[in-house]
Amino acid sequence: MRLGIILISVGILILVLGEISFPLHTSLTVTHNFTSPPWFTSGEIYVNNGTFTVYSDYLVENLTKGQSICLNNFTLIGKGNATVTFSGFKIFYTRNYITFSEIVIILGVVLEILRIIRLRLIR
Amino acid sequence: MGLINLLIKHKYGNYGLLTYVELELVLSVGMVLSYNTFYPTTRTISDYAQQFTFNFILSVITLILVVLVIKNIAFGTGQDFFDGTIITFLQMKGRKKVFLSLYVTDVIIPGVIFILTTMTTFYLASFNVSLTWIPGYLSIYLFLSSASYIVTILTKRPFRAFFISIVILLLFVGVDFSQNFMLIYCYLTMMILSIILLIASYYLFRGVSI
Repeated sequence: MRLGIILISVGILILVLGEISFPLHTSLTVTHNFTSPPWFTSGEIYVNNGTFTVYSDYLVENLTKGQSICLNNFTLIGKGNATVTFSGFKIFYTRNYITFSEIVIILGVVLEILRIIRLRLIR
Repeated sequence: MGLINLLIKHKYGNYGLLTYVELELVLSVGMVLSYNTFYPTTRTISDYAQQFTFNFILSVITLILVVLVIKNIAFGTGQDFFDGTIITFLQMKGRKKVFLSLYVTDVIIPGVIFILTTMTTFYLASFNVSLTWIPGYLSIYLFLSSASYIVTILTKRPFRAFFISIVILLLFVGVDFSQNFMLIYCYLTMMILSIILLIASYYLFRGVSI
């Protein structure tokens, strides 16, 4: 049982799973104030009726019936009926996973080097 | 510890545990992903419907894992019984130690790996779920694997043991998903039943003729 190789492979797997965004599409209907969840990379807003004000990073825009916009992080305020289609699902959306996988990979590499040194010394 | 290391090398080879770790990490990622297909805007469990959905996903993932463990027990330990390889281990240590080492390598190591990887994934994905999923998972897992142990020791043939264990698993799925028996959802009863089955399989192992 080589613990070092297991740790290295788990670290690489977490890094890859955090980097890729899964092709998962979901749509939901918004009737009043709504903040987009951070684990979706982009969302398309289509207003069916009513008026909404959308707040993004540096953008404030008024949306009326028939207008649509594609943003990554937004807050909708207003009343009416809007359809939001999300795409690009991320499993790990905070930056924690990079630190975690780096620590795990470094630990695995250190264990493997120690094993090689021990085998050389025995020989 | 020496016998367990030998059994790990005998059952999984040098890199077999690596496959288990990666597979169970991916299964735990699948739990978060399938929960978010049902509830896209939340990653917390607050009401009864969300708890029911999470329990359903957890039991499906547990059954996938149990098939792997049944394969370990039936085609690993059952093949050892059939070939007589188990005599080698019985010559090294007593029957009690050999049984416990077999149980640790077959059942407990994959189960503990699943708990660790799933807790890591839930922490990194900020998935807020109370720790009561662990007894819910362990009750199904330990019950089915202990039942498979009894079947393997009684039949002493690899394929027959696998077939009967899968039939038991399918019966369990039918009972579990039909929700007519509330016994299944009582974790404590299932844990006590699995411990009783484990003790029964230990006494069967002591008295078995090889």
